[in-house]
Amino acid sequence: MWDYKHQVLHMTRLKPWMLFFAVKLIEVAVQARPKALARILFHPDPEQRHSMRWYTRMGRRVWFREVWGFLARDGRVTDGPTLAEFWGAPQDAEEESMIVGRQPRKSVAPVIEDRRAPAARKLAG
Amino acid sequence: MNIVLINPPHTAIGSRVPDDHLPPLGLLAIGGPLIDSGHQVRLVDAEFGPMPLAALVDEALRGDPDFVLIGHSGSTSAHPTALRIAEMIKARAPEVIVIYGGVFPTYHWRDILAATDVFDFIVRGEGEATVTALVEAIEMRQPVASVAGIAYRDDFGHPVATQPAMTIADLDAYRVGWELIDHRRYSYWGGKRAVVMQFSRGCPHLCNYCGQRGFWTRWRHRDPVKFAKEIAWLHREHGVDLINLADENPTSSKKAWRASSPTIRTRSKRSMSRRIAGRRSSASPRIAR
Repeated sequence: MWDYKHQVLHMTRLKPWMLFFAVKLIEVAVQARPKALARILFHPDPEQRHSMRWYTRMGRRVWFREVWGFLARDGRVTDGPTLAEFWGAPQDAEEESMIVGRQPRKSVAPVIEDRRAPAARKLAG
Repeated sequence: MNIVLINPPHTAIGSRVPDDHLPPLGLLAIGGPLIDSGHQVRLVDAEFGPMPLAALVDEALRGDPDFVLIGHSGSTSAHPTALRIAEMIKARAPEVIVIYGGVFPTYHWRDILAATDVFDFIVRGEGEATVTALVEAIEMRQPVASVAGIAYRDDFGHPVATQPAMTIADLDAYRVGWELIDHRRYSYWGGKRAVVMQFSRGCPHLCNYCGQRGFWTRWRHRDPVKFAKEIAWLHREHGVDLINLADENPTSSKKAWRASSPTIRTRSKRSMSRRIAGRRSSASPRIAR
């Protein structure tokens, strides 16, 4: 499994399991704050309460899935590709995938003399 | 032409953990213009189940399509799955033209086309105008080199790209092909009937860790009133209760964003949920209403 969260390429001091479980511990600590729990349980807006409980339920599934993956499912390789090998040559010059198209000018409706709108403002005097 | 759009079964956590699935907006966005150009279009959404690849290919090749379009909503992690699907399609029906699009192929077209010949064309950047022009060029037997925003292998097998496509100046010029989905199948937040929409594309900020700005090239937004009317229509006609905005930064123009809210409130029978992912600095209590 590879997704946007797994971007740590190299560490000088921590072993992978240290970093992984430190992050997992932080996630539990943040979600288990009394204030956070109270908000999920007792938020006055039922829609907000429903959505927060749904996110919490999904977060719990992800937490266990990632721990299980780290311990049992996902193998880590020691001879994997370098970043340059994985992504290829830098593409700084191609960052913008398109060229900017301009909005066509809006056509101006023709003015018919006898239906010309009165001047919006007239000077006094 | 007979065209099949494929949403691959994604392997990423975001797709596999929730029980809900959201419609593949990118594919629907190119499906609408293709239908409006007179083509017969069908969507195979393999996220449900998820569908095994053999069953997905069976379903995609039912009815002998001329084109198979594979999109993956910008997910790099879905590329191996998209590649496997294209290989299986080409093994069974080599005459079917496979077109591939999304953020990953937009930037990695050289690597992809050098490594495999199962993708006939790659669409770079926004697909609405480019795919329509490409299908029309092939149908009319015109040279594809005249179509901007594509990559393919030349006669010598070398990957080549045509000039970049123009960004779509008027986002309301193309409609989303909502008729390609059964809205009852798509939900979010635990069973709430939901769709993904875009009010705007791109982002004006220069964050160096994010590729969205470059992909969309320029921040643009839809007409706020037309956007709001579409939301209200989805709510009234299809019972959609939740809009998941796929914008990078919908509130870049606060004036345009505010202009959409009164129409939504007026035209919807009851309140709707709008889930917005954007910059915290762009949000305020008034904007969020």
